[in-house]
Amino acid sequence: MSFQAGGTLLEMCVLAALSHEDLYGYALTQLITRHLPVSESTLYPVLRRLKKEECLYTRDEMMDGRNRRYYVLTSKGKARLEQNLTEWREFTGSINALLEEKYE
Amino acid sequence: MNKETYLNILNNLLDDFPWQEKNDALEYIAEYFDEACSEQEVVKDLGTPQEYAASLRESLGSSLPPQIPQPKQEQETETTTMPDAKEGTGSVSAASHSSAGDSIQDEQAFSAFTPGSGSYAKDENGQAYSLWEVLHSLYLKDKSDQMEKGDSLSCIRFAAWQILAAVLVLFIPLTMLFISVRACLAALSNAVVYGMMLIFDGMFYFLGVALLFAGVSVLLCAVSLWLCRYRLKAAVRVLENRMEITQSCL
Repeated sequence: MSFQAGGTLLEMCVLAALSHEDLYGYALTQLITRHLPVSESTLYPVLRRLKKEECLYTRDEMMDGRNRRYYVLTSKGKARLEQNLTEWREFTGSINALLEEKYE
Repeated sequence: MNKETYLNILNNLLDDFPWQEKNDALEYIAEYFDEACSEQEVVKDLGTPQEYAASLRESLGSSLPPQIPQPKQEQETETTTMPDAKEGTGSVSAASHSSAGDSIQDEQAFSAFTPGSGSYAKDENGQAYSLWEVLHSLYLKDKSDQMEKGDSLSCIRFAAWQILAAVLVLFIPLTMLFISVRACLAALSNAVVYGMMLIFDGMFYFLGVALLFAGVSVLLCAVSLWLCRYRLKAAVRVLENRMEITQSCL
């Protein structure tokens, strides 16, 4: 795919994934990469940035004798997601309108 | 490539990252290895340690705090003494790293270190570093691996209980001796616990926390004493009044 998911778009996808349920790093990566062609090394900085901006926090849970770090959306993260979704709809709406105009 | 090898290589490659950043990244990768079906799968997902480190550096580079430059020469000294500033204002002594070959800060990088001018050091290029970063680098660089995640939490929890106990004691009437002894014990036990952690785990971070809570405990001690004195005086006054009343009645 020539379109690359990065920056705000990837942030939005991560926030959207976490809005359904808390996920640990590996599960989140698997979920995102199932839909988007992104590398894991792109995802970690996004998680770190979102955590730093208090859009999400982490909680540790023991599972089969090892630690799992779950990422949890905060109210600030939910607000960011809402804002991103609004902007995304406006953006895709504009692009779609342009494409339809071109091909009609 | 197995998990340990991957993490070791990555650990070395991220050596100039702040400890917390590096630790978080390594924990993330370690967990990734634990969850994945096979180590080959991880390497396929993440790339080689060199590729992953380069990618991380590219992604996080701009947001990382400035780092103290790596030394030009390795040194094997027990004590590193910062040279006096050009203005001749003081020096800083610090315990050095325990093993030969570890990174230690280039003395030249801090040749303009001036304690009186604020908490900053400057390297030869004029790049400023906070005193905290200097101390962090000097004291913790090779000890950070010994730090465990739960330590800070348990440390703070312990200190919080100490403070809570000291506050509760304030409301127990009266015995000045008990209160002051309790507050002194709180300060002393804090100092001992944090001191032990400092010695055995190299937790320089907690020295600050220890001082903070010891200070609060001492403060509570002073408040306790003040309250006791005030209350005792009031009690004595009441007693005197009663005695006067009794005498007048007699």
